[in-house]
Amino acid sequence: MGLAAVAGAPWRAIFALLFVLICPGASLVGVLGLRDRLTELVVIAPLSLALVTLTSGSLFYGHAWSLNTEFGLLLGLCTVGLILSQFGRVVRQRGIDD
Amino acid sequence: MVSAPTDVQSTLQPAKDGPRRPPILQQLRFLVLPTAAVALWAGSLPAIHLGAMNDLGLVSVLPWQTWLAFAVLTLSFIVCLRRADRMDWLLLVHVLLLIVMLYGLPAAITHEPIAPVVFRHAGITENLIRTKVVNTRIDAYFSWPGFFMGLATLVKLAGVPGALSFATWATVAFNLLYLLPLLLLTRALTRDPRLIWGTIWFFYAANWINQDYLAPQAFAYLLYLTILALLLSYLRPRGTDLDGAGRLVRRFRALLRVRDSEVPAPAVSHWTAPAIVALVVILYSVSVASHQLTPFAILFGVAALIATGQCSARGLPLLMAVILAAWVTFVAHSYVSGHLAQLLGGFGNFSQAASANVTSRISGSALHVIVIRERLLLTGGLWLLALLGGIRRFRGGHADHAAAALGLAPLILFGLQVYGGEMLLRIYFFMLPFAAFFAAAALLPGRVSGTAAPSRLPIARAPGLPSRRGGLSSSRVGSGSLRAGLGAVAFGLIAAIVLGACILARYGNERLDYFPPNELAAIRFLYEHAPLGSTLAVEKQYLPWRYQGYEQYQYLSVESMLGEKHPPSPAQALDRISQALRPTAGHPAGLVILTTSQRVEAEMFGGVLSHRYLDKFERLLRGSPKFRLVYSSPDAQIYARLPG
Repeated sequence: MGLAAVAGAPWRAIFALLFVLICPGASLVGVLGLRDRLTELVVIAPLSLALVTLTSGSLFYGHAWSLNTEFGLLLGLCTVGLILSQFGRVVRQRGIDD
Repeated sequence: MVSAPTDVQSTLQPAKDGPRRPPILQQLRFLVLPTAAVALWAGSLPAIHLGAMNDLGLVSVLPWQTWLAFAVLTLSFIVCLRRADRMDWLLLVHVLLLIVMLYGLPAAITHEPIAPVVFRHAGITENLIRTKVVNTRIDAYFSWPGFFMGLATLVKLAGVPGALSFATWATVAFNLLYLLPLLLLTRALTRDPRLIWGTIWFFYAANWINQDYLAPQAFAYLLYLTILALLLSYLRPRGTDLDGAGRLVRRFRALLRVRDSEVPAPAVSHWTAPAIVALVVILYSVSVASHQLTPFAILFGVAALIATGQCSARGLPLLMAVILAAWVTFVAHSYVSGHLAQLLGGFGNFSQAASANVTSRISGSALHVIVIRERLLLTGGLWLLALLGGIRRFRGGHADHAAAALGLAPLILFGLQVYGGEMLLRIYFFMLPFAAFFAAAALLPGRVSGTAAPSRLPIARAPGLPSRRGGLSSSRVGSGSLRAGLGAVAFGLIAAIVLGACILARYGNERLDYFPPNELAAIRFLYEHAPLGSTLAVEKQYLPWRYQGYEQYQYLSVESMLGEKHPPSPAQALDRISQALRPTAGHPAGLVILTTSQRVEAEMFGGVLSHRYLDKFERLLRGSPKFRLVYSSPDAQIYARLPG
């Protein structure tokens, strides 16, 4: 967020678009264990947009929507997604090793 | 223990035992024609003068270089399609270029958003950002606000003035987003790389519907494609599951001769299947929150897949129906309860649907009627081609029940609701991936799994699948090669015709949708000077407005008055507007906005507002002592109501 603000309007718009299109979906797609690169690529953008819609929807209906809250929620979601992806990978690897 | 889904790789990706890829330098020579096409296209843009358009739309001002660019790109695609199994990246480049050249054409010319509805969508987003509240009493959009909520987040995150900043190139962006789900979907239907890329080309070349701008429909369509692609790729039952249903369903499937698909079902782990179902439910829920119609299309599609034994998640339609009902009951209830008669009035009334979707739309100026008839011809032609392709595929022994079910399922929507006379357009849109699949199959030379491919049209083989009736045996390779060549020529010709027809059909309203810079400047002036709470009056509500202060103004149009039982004369209409705009305590003076686009809309579509009526109304307005001209340009005039 800070980086985007410093970078200026055009870059900020590009960063924001890429973030909304990629980050939430890419961080969570590993949890699904799809194991097919094409399917993972297919899922990233729709899942990202869906998660942005769901989180902003929850905040709007909860009368709590603001950019900072929304962005914080999305970053938290990305972090949880990455942790779960790593956790799931370890579990699956153990399963295969066993 | 989680079993590694090894089959997934072989199912979801093209067969890897196909012919070898030629050296990169040999492949690069296939980029000469696409490069020429792009150069021709880009070079033709400065010669396009939108102000000179007639009622045929964009085609009336397209120079020959633009047409040549599309012809060269199509020719190049056909040349590369013959090598689809070895050089799929080249086909991807062609499709990407087609998306930019076809869908980016208006944006590359105008650098501005087009069509009033886009401005309106920007206004809804601005309302959400400004108020931070979803007020369902404003209009129907606020009962399905999912898309606009996400857009509001994007606008704030990007730090841009409004959603219009993303509107100009949104069509290209959405079509690029459709590509990957479409690729996955088509790969779940066939293993033939030529048919895969032929389908994708047809999809983009025949999408004249123009519902892919910055709108909930465009977003929900991405979810539609993704959900169907995931279900077909991961939740396809294995052969033995096809019989695992009740007696009636088994009889139904026997009647349809349902068999295993050409693309075998992948073996998925016990973790992946529930994960896919969860993902589908998330995507579906977002579609329910974003759009009125698409969730029904998804629901019918999934139900059709299950009825024909093509999806193993049997409880999914019920879950989807519950989600849909919950949204309508608890969130959209205020809109639904207020418009119940309107929503259910068209249920089962096929004659009303046909009238609203077809016959009543064939009206307007002589040139516009040509465009409408051409659209009908293109739609009927593609469906006929798809029907022939379907017959050919089923006679050839291909079990394309999933594609057929998904292609036919949207037709159920026709009898449900008129949808403002746009239902047929939306049905075409939902059917398009599958219509494109069968249309491409009608033209491309038949390929048979497990048999040798014609030498001039190498294809990926699908090992382990039984031979199909009607295919090419090794003894028929010579004649097969000739047939393949003729098929490629036929595909090229039809693809070129469809693309040309699509340009006419898709951009046939462009004279209407294009707003000259003068009009955009006039609306900016309007919002700088119109006091909040004032009434804004127009002849027709066809102008680039409502992108800010969406609910902060009242709107009035002469056209809506003419819809009444006793329509007023021009003098009476002006009198009523004068009364409505008169400044009073707590209600600031209103404005009347006249623009070229309103006249063009009345001219193109006809309807209740005649030229004579508008001329007289404007003459009276100019001569009225109650109004003063406050803004004037060749394309727009704004009159302010004076006190008294």
